Amino acid sequence: MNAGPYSNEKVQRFIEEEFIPLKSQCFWDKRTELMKKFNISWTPTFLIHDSGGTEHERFIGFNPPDDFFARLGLGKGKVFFNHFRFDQAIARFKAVFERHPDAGGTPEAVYFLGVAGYWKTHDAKALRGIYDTLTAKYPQSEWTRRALPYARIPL
Amino acid sequence: MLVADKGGHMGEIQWERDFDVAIEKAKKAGKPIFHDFWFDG
Repeated sequence: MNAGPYSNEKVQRFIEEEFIPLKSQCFWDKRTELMKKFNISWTPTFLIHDSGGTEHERFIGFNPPDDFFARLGLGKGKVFFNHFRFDQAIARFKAVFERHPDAGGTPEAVYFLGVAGYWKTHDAKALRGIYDTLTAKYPQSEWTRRALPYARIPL
Repeated sequence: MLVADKGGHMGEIQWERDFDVAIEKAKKAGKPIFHDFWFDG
């Protein structure tokens, strides 16, 4: 039996400490109001909402613990980022990069780490840093391609 | 000790089941919500 990500005690602890955990059962023969509200079309679907209920991150399907951790950190970082709380967003994105360098969501965290750094400092070198890091560490990532325009920013 | 909850997962996480209650808890705690949509099939 696949016990899912919650069989990992570190995952359990992280969710309990960092989030309000919410579980909603899906019924395909009679979709619930929450399924309709959030356009749920496959399970498992994981959402991260801010305290007002707005969705900031979505990931679908089985995620091994390292990928799962990175998505949780990325999602929490995006909540801060989208509320212009850049110091807290930077801390979250940096933690994802440092603790989960090989996770699937980490290139995206590196991208937003640089963008949050730019918003905080208004120094374009933060954007160039995105390109340099992604090119060196994740050359095949789509987030590296998204950073291509920053290659022209002088150091 | 790990116990199985109604969602079929293993864990000690204390899950909220009501979205509106989760919102109130999130506001009070200053935390975001982690929301698992699951199917028992």
